[in-house]
Amino acid sequence: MALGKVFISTISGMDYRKSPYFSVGRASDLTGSDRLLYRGLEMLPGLLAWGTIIGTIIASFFVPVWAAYFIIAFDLYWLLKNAYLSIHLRHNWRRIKYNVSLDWKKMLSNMKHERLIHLVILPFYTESLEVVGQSIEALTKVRYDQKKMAIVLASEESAGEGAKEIAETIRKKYAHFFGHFLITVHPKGTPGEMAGKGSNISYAAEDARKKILDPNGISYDDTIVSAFDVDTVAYKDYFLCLTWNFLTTPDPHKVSFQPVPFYNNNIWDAPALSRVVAASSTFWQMIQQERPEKLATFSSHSVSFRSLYEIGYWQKNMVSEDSRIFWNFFLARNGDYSVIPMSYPVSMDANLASSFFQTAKNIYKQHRRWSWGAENIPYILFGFIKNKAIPLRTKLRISFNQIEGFWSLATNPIMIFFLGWLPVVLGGDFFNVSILSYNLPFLTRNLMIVSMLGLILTGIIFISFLPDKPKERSRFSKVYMALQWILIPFTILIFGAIPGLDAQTRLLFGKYLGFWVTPKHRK
Amino acid sequence: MKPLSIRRRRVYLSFFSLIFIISIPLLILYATGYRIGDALNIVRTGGLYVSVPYSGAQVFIGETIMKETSIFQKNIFVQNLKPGSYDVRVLKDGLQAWSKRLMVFPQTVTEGYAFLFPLKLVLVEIPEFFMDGTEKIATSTMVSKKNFLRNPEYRTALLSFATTSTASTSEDVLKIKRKLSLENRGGTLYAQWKGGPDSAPHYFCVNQVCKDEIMIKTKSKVRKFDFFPGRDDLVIVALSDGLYVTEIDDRSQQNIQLLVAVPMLDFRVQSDETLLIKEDKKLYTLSI
Repeated sequence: MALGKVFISTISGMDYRKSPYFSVGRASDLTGSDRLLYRGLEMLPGLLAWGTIIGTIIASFFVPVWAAYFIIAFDLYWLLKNAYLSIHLRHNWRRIKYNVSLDWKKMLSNMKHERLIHLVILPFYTESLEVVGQSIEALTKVRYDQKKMAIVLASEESAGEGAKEIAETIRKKYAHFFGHFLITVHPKGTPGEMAGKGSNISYAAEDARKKILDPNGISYDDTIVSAFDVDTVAYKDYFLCLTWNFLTTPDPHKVSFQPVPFYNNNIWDAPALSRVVAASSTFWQMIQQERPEKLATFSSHSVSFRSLYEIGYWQKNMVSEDSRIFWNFFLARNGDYSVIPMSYPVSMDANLASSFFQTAKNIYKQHRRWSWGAENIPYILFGFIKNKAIPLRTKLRISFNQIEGFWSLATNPIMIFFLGWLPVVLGGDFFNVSILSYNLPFLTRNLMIVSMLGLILTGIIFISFLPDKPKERSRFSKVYMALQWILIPFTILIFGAIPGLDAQTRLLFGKYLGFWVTPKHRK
Repeated sequence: MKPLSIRRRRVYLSFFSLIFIISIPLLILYATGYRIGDALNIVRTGGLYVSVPYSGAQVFIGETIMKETSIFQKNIFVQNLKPGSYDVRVLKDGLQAWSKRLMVFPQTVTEGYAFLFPLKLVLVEIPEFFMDGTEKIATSTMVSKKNFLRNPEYRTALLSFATTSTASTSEDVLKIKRKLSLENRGGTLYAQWKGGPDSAPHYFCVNQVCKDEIMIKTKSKVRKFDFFPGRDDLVIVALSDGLYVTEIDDRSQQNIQLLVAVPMLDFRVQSDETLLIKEDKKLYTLSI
């Protein structure tokens, strides 16, 4: 449904929430010049990525010396950036270890928190009973009064009878543990919605409001919603830690709470490729936890119900609802919204399928979906243009961070592993007899080798977070877990840059992605 | 435990930014050949690149052995060389030596492509006839010819000489390989580059100044010639006293190496690895 253009020069705060721009999913939701503008902004990430790649190729051909200078500068930038980020990673590693070892019950002992209710939404589609059961089982074991918890198992009508049966089995087995237990069934084919997690959890949140919060007189202010992926296994003090963060934040309705996603549920069963890619995602989130101004919500996250209710829950017409909800809040509150990095883990599934090839395919698709988060760039920039109440400095900082982030994802590994050699290949005979031409590959290689030394740290961190080794695993398993990091140059290219470029190219040409549910397979 | 403070992060960021700002010009200067000289001044250096087709060969610059080539690394790149001339030698036991005086220019890599042929190459005769059976015999045998079968390999080889001889006038004078031509002008060979300077083989250019013709000097008149298979810088020449391989590269004295010391022979390139040699009616193969 196309939204009409709103002829107001200044929209701000909750006014923006009420404007038709707030829930834009894609350019075709708008009309006239707004549509053109939004479409142009959708093209921006792809244009920048391809512009960089094609620009480097052209420069390598016509001005190879300048291309070589650029590549040397870029290699050094990459090395120093890695070093800079690894400081953040190391600090967050220490912080997570500290937080996991902390007695959060004691931390809460002097705080009144009995009024708080944790509403946990677990959306599922066709995942197995084992997957759903493991997550619910973990909720029964967390150190929190389960009677202060409301569990919403959010199923999809389109998933059929099998999903319904799983939901009922779960209800029979676990409902009595919790203060409230609700199964919601998101109707299929609702107009204006995209089938996916966003539409499902929005429906579930509203259903929970009507069936749990309102009938029981539970304050929206005192309800903390945790929107989990269905494979999310909460660590034992997650809700205590979340409660502490909620209570110690000056205004808990102006923030979202972001745990660190570990992919430990099946880490001992997943192939090395999957482990490396999953851990890389974890490490990236750990780095972002130390840079909260760059942090947006990702995957499983928590937020106050009041905030959610005010903006109408998650967007239902797009893929990246987990990060979009943050930008919804950000625009609705004129930039006065942030993410609290909890530095406390939740555990999820690493990609695992019945065959190695299928696993690799799933990893690619999952990362393409995550990279599709670039759809937030037009939303943010368009919102910044329309919402005049956000300070210009904030707009510039956020715009740069977001654009640079997606540009880096899609181009940097390609530039590092391919473009470094281009001037030598395309530069012509005169360039090829220059000392610069001979030194370029050596410099690129050496800077990359130094850069890769950081992998030692990542290997150590990865092993430190591993769950106990299953007895059937050989005693050398941990050695393999350390050696797997040599796959990094391959994985950041094949499962980082390429799906990133794929997603941005689709956005560039208006070939919009739908929501793809990552299959959860257990051995 | 608190997150990294903004202040500390700014310090780290400033530190790495400073390293970046300082390192970039230094790296670029290094990559383009600038070095600190003996007098602590900035000097521009160049490099040498020598390609060697064999492993186990020793590469000398002046009297200093720079490297022994291996299966994995047959080429040598030496930088930090002051501009000037350098004597490069490549030696390997059992092979003829290759040496060249190469000029090194600032910020440029001077390339040299060595070739080293065995001191002794063996001609393998292609017999005209087979004995009835599989045993090969020399044509000089006293056994009656009716017991022999004509060797088809000999016939084919002979044909390759006959075929070209029909066009001998032009073929013996001019041979063209892509944009590189070889012309025999009264017994002296000239190599000409017909393309642009951007794509000229390295030996046509010195410090980015290119010429379009090189004379190949030999001790006697060139009777027959052809490109050496797989190389654009080598030519096989039949002189009055034998068959040689010479390089076109005339940046210093051209290396010429003997293949076969048999006078007045003719030859054809059969494949990338084999020459056909004809001496009167006898035919041979020569593995190169």
